[in-house]
Amino acid sequence: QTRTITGRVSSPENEDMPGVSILIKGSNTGTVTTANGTYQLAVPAKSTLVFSFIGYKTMDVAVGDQTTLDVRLVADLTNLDEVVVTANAIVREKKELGYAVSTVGGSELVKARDPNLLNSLAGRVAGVRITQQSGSVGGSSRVVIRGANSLSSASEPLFVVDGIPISNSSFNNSETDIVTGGVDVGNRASDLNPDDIEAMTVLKGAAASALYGSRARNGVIVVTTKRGKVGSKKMNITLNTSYRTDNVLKVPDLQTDYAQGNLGVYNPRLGNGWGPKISSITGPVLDYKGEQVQSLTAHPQNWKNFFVTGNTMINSIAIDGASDQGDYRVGYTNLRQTGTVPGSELTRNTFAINAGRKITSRLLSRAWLNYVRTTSDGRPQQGSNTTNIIGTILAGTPVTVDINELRNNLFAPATQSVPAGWTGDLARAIDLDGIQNNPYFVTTFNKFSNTVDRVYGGTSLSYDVAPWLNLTGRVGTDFFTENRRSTTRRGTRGRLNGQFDTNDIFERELQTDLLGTVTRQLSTDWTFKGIVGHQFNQRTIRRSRVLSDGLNIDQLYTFANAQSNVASNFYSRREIYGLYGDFSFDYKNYLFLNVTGRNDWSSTLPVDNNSYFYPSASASFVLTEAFPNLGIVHKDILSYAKLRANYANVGSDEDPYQLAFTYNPLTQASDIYTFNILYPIGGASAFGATNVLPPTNLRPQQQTSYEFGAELKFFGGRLGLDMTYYKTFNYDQIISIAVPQSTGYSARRLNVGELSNKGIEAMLTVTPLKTRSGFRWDAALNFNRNVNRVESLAPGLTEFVTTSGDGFGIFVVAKPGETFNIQGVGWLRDPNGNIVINPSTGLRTPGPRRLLGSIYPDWTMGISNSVSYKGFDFSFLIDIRKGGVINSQTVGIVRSGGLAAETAINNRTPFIDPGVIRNADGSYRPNDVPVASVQQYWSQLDNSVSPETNTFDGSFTKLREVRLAYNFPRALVGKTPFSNISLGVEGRNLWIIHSNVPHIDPEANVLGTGLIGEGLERGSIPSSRSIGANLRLAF
Amino acid sequence: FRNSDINIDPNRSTSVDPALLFSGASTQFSLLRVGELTWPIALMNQMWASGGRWGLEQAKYDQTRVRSAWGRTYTDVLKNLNVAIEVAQKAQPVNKNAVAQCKIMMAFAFAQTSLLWGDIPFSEAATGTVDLPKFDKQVDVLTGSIAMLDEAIGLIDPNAKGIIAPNDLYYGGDMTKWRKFANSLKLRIMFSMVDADPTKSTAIGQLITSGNMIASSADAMQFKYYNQPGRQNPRFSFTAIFRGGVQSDWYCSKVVYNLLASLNDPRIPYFYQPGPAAGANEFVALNSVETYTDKSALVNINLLKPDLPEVSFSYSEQLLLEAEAIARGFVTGSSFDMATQRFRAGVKESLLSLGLPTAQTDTYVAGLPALTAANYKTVLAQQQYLDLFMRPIEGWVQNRRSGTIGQEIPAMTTPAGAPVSGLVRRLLYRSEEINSNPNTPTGLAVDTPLWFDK
Repeated sequence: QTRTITGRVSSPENEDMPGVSILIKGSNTGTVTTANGTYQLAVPAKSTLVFSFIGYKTMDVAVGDQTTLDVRLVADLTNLDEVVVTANAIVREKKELGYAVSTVGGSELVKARDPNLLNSLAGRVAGVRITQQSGSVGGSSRVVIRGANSLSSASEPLFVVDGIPISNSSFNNSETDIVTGGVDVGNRASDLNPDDIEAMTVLKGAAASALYGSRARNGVIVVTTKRGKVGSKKMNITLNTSYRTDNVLKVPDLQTDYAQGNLGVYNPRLGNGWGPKISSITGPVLDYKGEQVQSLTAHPQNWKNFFVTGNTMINSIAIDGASDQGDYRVGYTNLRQTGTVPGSELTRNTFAINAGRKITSRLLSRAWLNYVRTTSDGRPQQGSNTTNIIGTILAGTPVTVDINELRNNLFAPATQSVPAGWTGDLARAIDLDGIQNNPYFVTTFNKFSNTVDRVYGGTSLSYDVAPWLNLTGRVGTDFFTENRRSTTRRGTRGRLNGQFDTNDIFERELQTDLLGTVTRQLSTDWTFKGIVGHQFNQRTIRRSRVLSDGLNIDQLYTFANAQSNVASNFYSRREIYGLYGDFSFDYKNYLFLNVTGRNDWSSTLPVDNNSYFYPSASASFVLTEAFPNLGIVHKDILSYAKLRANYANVGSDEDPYQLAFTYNPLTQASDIYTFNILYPIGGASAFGATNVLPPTNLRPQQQTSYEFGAELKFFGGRLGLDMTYYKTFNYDQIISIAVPQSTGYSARRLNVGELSNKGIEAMLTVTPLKTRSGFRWDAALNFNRNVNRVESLAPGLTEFVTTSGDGFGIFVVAKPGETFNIQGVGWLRDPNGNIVINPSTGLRTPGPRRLLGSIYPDWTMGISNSVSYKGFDFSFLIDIRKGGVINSQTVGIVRSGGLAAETAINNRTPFIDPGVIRNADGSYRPNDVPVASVQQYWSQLDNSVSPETNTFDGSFTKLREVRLAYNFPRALVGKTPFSNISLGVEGRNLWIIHSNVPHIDPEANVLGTGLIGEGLERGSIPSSRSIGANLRLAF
Repeated sequence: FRNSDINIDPNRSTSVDPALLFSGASTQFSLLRVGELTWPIALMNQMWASGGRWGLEQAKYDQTRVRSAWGRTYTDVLKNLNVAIEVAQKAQPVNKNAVAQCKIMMAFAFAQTSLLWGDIPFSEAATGTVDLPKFDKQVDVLTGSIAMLDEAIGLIDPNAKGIIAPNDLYYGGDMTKWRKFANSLKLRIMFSMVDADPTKSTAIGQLITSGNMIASSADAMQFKYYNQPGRQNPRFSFTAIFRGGVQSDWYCSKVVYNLLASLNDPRIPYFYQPGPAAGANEFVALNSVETYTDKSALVNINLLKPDLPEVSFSYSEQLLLEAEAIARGFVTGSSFDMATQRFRAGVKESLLSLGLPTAQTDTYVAGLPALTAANYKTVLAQQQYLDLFMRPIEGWVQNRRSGTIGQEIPAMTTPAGAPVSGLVRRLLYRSEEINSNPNTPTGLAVDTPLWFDK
């Protein structure tokens, strides 16, 4: 006697639970819930239903005489069955893994929306450090997992989407470009659309990723995109709309009393604050425009008035569905963003298709494709360039200049310095001498614009030859073109004749995989799974660039309109063939062993030495399953315990074309003032021999790593601890070691140097409060301490400059026994460390160059708390960094220019700088000589004299994220055409709770993601505080 | 990947014509002379005044502004010339003239580098074969440069082709002129040595007697710039880029101005322009620590024109050196009459090259005192210094060799606030070299004299 029973399955938060499998206990009959979480099933009398779903406790519910049975699932915090997508899109149970992984679900990523997906990861995963480089629209974010692994390149992880590697390049990595005013062009991983992402898995160590090849040695971020899901209807429609606003978080704190000038004498020709008190200026004087005025007025809000509120709109629609024959999903997302710098904007359109179909019961095909088009305009320049740097212009704008006046008057009046014979429009300057441009002239006319057209995707065929043997073939590609143009209008101060720079970039990666998977039950206790595969990977880069100078007709940016066009182009291709194997043994579902091996043949290494093998081994032991009745610890106390360990070795190749002695066609000759002489000159073209001596007997680079970890859950999962200890050694690095320039070369390429990282990652999760009414409070703390150390360099080499910020007076250097440090001229000190003061001036004296501090933090921590109750979900995330330094040139500029608030204290009365004076006999006495003038004191603290004073402890505590989400109750939703409505409000980067750096956000970095080196700031666009709301509707 | 061309660089070449290396090396060398080695040196040695602009304060003897010249001279100039010589020597037949042209440029660059820094890598430098080149004594560098010039002169065949136009940016392949320059350069180097090594006087005498040196303004060694974007004289670009074409960086230095004024020299308005708030002929000079005002006189914008050539060796310089050789009795059969004649011809050439009218020039030259045993040291050195006004590298050498320490002409005093008690007498070795080459001499102060500076 059967009858039909209906019901609804909901989550602990009372959300609909689609796809929950329901089985009549003791039978093979069952069903799954629909998209609304409802089900209908014919059941015999006195039966029991088994409800199961990954991540939730399996529930047995006896069916009495009722005809409806609603079930609310309980989360299984022990996550015993959690699955993880690992290398090559292979899905594994987390408990099998002998290494640490972290997964962030797609729903987490879209709650607090940041146009750059990476920023959403900040503070969430132990051992993963995400640093937003600037507040520029479309700005880049640096990702470092477990510390730097290379002396010669930024240790960025590999990004893999659905098994295919994708580019995270930045193409912004010329030091000269950055020093003289590069824009933050963003990093290409920001093309990933959060709406299309099912989950992101961070594989932190090399063991996790030996199968991806060498690039995985810096860790891998594995992205799985969404697929169609089974629902009650043939198709599910999800709409999502979100809006957010951005405002600059922190601008320099400026003085409001002093006009421009020199030593208290007013001078409108200067862009600073070293003049007299504004209130003391009476009678007719010239203002910065050259007009006679009776008095001057202070405009203290210039910075705040300059920046505007940025807006971001993200709208997306996704349609998906599935049947037992196949699944499909189509998504479209539109993102429109305007930045905090006037005139900066970004638009991104993303189309995603993912479809799978069973051709026969054993042959499965799948294809997926993403098309992303990103256009941006008006990204501001940063760095030291005098013509285009908003930060530099603002940082030199006298208090007497009204920025609102500049906004409405872009062009110079006749009374301001106009070069002899100049006709046409000319930028108004902020000084009578006409040196620094009106920032609005720059934002209006001098635009950096770019367009990226990108396609990535792949196709796969999977065939079950036998129940125990599967063959899969996969081909994937990622390619994009990026067209950039930056213009400088005629009449721009410092670039009077105008110029433009056209840069076309093409990058393509192609990868094929062919793999066979064998799964065999060896005995009742042992299961074996083996994968053998072949991989081919090819990467191509093509660039062409034209620098056009001297425009005949204003604002016509064509090559023919330029008096000079200098073209350069670049092409590179590299290939790798790899063979790999991955063998896993499972003993009684609690002991797991895994060994992998891979051999690569790389095109970039010497033909006789281009093959290298690298192995890994890992083990996982689930203690609580091996000894279910641990005598001492009751199951209710220690619910789950797993130990894991692994070892991995990774070999790797190097950049292409590094082996031969070559001659380079030259486009220009230059000196430090960058007034480049362009070739051909006088009809002569030019070549130069390479400045890097090519290597002999090059070997592959090597990395060896160890990792030990434990995962413990107590009290049924209310308390969890996941700890990892790791050690990574990088050796035989292929780097260009500086040789004395007197050899005629600047560097020699060779295998040299060892770099290690040792660290601890810990993740503590607690559920302090949980009530039957559905109230729940979860807290999580993740912690990472990484000790990076340069173990050795080439014999006799005492330091290695990884990045030269020479124009900034600073270098990022690697020294044996140290980590990467900022180095620069320090103040002269006595043997006790006191600053030595020059008795004739009362000022400090520059001393020798010294290390000013590590660029890496001592430790980082993220603390998140979330509280949920009846559809409400409130959470916040605090991000903490301790240690490391940042050198801020902006601070130096506003101080040496007499604009910073601290330069005006005490009415600029000369004071005694604490320090010592050297006596004639070599002893020291406390300084008793006041500074010659306050202006000279602060001017001397400029980076060009010594960066020491502008180098600060980079520790910070930030309120990174706050969000409140509300899932409308069923009762309300039922009256609408929708099946689900959720609303969220979020704020990001809200508050710098603690920082030791004045005037700026300590997170800025002008070097971008392509160079080794952090903690250098100059004219960086201030970071944003964002507040937004999100509405999600499902039909 | 065996037999595959995948790792063959499509962006660069594995063979090259030495002419292309030569044009690159000479352009880079000229750019350094007229750019990076102009501003800091002209200010440090008080030829120009900074007026407190640009952080290029004279009193700081700020050498962070000479950042790339050391490295680029070795890697982009000397190394490429060396490689060009290797390629030219492998040609069939050997391109002897090209080898000669490269060697002359190498000698020029080595001598210049030594006269700025003192002891420098020479015998083991710029070859890529010695990892840690030793620092040769200045006397050996200068002697070696002369020997290199002799080798080059021996290779020259005026009837054969070497590196020609457009890649020879100095003489368009005219080997006769290259030989003249090589001899004149030998003369200049020997003069820089003669105070420390008096035996050079004989060699100087012989050199002048045998002639074959720069003998007209058409023979002058100069690198041309053009009024086209990217081909302009960088001194113009500096003002154009940083100041919108308004000269407001390089001020009139009291040392030079006072000398001109004491000589009643008509070059004042050619060297300088009055400040924006000054009267028509009001030239207000600055000392090495004074801050500029609206009235401060500036280096004349006409000397910063886009198409002015960079002068490596001028005819006036040649004539004045000859006058000095004769006056000092290095040349057999010399007389002060002869010296005076060369001296006046040299000064005349100097004024004419600035564009002064012939009549005014003649009047001034006629009014110059005849050289005598008593006055020649001062009178000649004054004119030699003024002749090198826009050439701070040579001007600095001239000033340092014009008298014993403290007795230079014109006399200069240490700026208040200078980090050392004396005048700046050398450039300091760059950290790139110090950090990678343990042979780099240490413990040298900015005012430690070089070997030649007696």
